[in-house]
Amino acid sequence: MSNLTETDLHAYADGQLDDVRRVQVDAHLAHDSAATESVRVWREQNEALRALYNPVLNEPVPQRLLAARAPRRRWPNYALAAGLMGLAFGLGWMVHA
Amino acid sequence: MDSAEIVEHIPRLRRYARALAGDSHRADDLVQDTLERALAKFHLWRRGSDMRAWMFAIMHNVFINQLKARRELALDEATEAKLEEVPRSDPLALRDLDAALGQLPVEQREVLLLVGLEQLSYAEVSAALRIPVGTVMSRLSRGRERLRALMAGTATVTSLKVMK
Repeated sequence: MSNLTETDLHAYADGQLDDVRRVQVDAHLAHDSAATESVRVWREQNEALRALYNPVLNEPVPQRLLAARAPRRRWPNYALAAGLMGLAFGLGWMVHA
Repeated sequence: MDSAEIVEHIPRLRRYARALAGDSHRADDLVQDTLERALAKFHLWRRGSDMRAWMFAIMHNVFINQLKARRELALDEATEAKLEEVPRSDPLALRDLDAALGQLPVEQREVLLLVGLEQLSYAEVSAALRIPVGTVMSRLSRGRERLRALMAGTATVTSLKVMK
């Protein structure tokens, strides 16, 4: 195969190739030991990363993260509206009194 | 606002943050800032698009800002010069992998982790980091080669021949 790129090899190692391309790379690797070695190393790196960090998935999530909240908007519209209504009511009451 | 959906992503955000930031306290700070930002910007998330990729994009921005604030954003060259200082112990030991990752330039570490650990497609990585796919590939290539060199304890980084 003449048009094999390094990108194809990475995609092959990462399982991101379609079937047709994968078969082509398979055929190429049969007679390219350097490329085969690269793919082996990259897959080993991926597996090592998952082996090292996957246990984090099973850790209990710290409470502070579950309690994370969006920073409060200074004056949500409904609060502003309620405030204005209260003010109007209060003024009206004072004027009436 | 449906924050329950965001909560579902916390374990995977923590896994990625742990690998990216190294220590668990910093990692959870990163996750917390990311969650707060995501909740504040939730209205910007396009319904139907991949929320996980969107959260990784936010985490990327938060992380870069944190590094800038701490003046720890290592330049590519600076990190490269440090390659020789990495203590070598038995190759491919998992505990060394964490240290080796920390020696990679941030931009290579991010791509390596999003692809290898989080198993995002190259297109998703491109979208999350807002870089062209070609840049994703070159960072992935350099990151993998550098990681290989670090894990093997070899100081010199030889680049792969690009096959045509």
